[in-house]
Amino acid sequence: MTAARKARIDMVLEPVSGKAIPVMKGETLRISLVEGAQHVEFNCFNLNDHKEYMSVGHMRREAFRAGPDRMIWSNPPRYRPMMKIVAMPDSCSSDLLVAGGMSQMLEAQFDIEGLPGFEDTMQQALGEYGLTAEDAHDPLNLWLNTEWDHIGTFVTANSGRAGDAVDMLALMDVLAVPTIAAGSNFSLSGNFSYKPIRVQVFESDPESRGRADREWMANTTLKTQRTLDDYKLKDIREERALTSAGDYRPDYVNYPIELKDIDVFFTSGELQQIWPMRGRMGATDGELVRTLFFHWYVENRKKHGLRLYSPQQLHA
Amino acid sequence: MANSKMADDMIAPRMAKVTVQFDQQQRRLLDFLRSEGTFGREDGEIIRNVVLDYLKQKGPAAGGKA
Repeated sequence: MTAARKARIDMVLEPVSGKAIPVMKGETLRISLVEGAQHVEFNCFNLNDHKEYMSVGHMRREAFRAGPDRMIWSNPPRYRPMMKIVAMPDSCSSDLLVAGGMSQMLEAQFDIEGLPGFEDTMQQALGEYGLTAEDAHDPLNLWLNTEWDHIGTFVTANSGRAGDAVDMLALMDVLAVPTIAAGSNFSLSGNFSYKPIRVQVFESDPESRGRADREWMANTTLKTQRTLDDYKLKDIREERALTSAGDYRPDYVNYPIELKDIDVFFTSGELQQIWPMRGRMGATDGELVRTLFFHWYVENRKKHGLRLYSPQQLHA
Repeated sequence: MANSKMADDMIAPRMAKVTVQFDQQQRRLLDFLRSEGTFGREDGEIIRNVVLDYLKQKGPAAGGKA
């Protein structure tokens, strides 16, 4: 980031708090550690439509951790780039596996009431914009040293250092919500203590606006990246109780499935090459031949996979 | 003539039919390959040639991960 950009917001968040902050396209959000190791839980909404929000689950499909040059993706069927992580130090371990810490879990583990959970802190921060605890979504975890094994995830000591900074460039107007992770004082997630964090928003300049435009254009080219105009229902439901709309008729995509029988001829010698795979790659010869066809297609014609992810590849 | 026909039958490999089901989305991949022109024109011909190419690529190791 160019050093000359002015911080229009510069604040320190004390434990245990957070802040909902509009960050406009081309602006950069910086979250930094003031005194050292502190787990930060982050939410992100489209500032102009709160039903579009960061989908940690879909970011997780790319890898279990976020990092430099990775996107904050919104929830499908929109799946649009909301922000781009432009800087993250090695001492910041990010995590896309762990859901927000619950006060219930802390109460159950320590038998102490009044320990806040992720939802408690997040709902206080979101309230300024009329959002509730139920609008909070799974967080992007910053400075959370998770590991995983055959059972699940576990946390190791927080490796964050004072001065560590994560920068995220807004690619659309967003409501960014960093919070100090609740329960850090009872967990290795904060090395058993709370510490303040610093939040800054740097104004855009021609370079940052140009970069945001380029990233947006490069990563919104898929026809299946839907917008609200594509939705069958566009209105947000107000009633809490669910009742059936009797005259509703869904329009499922690619429905019904229409199967076509295709005759394929092989010599007996060719079939003898195929048959050893029968059973593990298909119960019938037809299933086996289709499976082999797809193995070939995936290896020879599939454009790319998320494991080989890069924004340019994904949207090429 | 009869002897010639008999000789052809002895030389030509016996072909066995395998019926494969593709749905409408899967058949679009056949359309892509048809447009390439490398694997044939008919659906069955394309599938057959693709499977044979797969076996050729993999050899004895055929049957790995997709």
